[in-house]
Amino acid sequence: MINLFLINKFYMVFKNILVPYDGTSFSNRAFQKALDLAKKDDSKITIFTVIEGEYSAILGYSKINPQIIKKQQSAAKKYIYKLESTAKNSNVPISVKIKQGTSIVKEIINFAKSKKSDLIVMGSHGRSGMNKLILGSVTNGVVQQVRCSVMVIK
Amino acid sequence: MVFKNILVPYDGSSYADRAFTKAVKLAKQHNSHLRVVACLDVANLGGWYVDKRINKDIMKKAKNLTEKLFSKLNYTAKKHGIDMDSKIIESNNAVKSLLSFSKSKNIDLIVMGSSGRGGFDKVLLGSVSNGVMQKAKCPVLIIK
Repeated sequence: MINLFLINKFYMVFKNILVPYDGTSFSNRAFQKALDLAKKDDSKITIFTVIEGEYSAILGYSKINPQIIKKQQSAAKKYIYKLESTAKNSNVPISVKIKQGTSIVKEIINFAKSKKSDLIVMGSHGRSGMNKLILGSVTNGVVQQVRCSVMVIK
Repeated sequence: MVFKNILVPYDGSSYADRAFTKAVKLAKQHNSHLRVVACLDVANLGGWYVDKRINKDIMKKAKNLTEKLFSKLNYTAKKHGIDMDSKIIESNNAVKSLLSFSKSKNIDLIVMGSSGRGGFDKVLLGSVSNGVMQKAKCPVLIIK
């Protein structure tokens, strides 16, 4: 297993591709690009979505209201279902993970570590876009801190 | 989304080498044209206070060195059957000149190492990579 990992690293083949997904057009394009790469390298795609839960001014993001989290999860599943079907049509193995957490950047980095993914493909901006010129905050945080290669789609 | 023109900013570091090998692989898959660019810093050569001719001398030596590196890269690119261009840019600001170059040549993808020669912190992103990634209009692949 370790040998295989080293060989992949030496020849720069990306076997596990992680796509953090939030339903925006940027992340859709990132997923398309990841699909293209996966077809050519025979690699696996993992789609990862972080759900923040409800924001209240006093408590911050919290787990208090499980109904809202459930609603958000079902909405995310609707989005991701489409992606799964497109990936299955082009014969790319795909897995999906939806997680609840407060810090999106930390969740993505931990997930990339635990799955040993060697490439992250993500859009340059997400849902909280205010400034379209420079990079989004989540993307910036992930690129700066994560240990694997990152492709930023604009 | 097809990558026709791939830009590799190269500075001779190990990160840049790995970025180049990945770019060669991508270029082979997408049948794309590879452009390798090295930025030589003009502003801070040193030695100008001794003799003004020293600067030119240093620049010449640096150019010779980078051309040697480029010939190696050219060899590997030819082995894989990829057409490759190389260029040396003299500028004060590597980020700005890389961005203007990528605009003028219609670059579709920039492949670069996470930190280069100026690296002092290996955990965070290098300054040039960070600047290019934030301001570039095309997708950027950062190799770590």
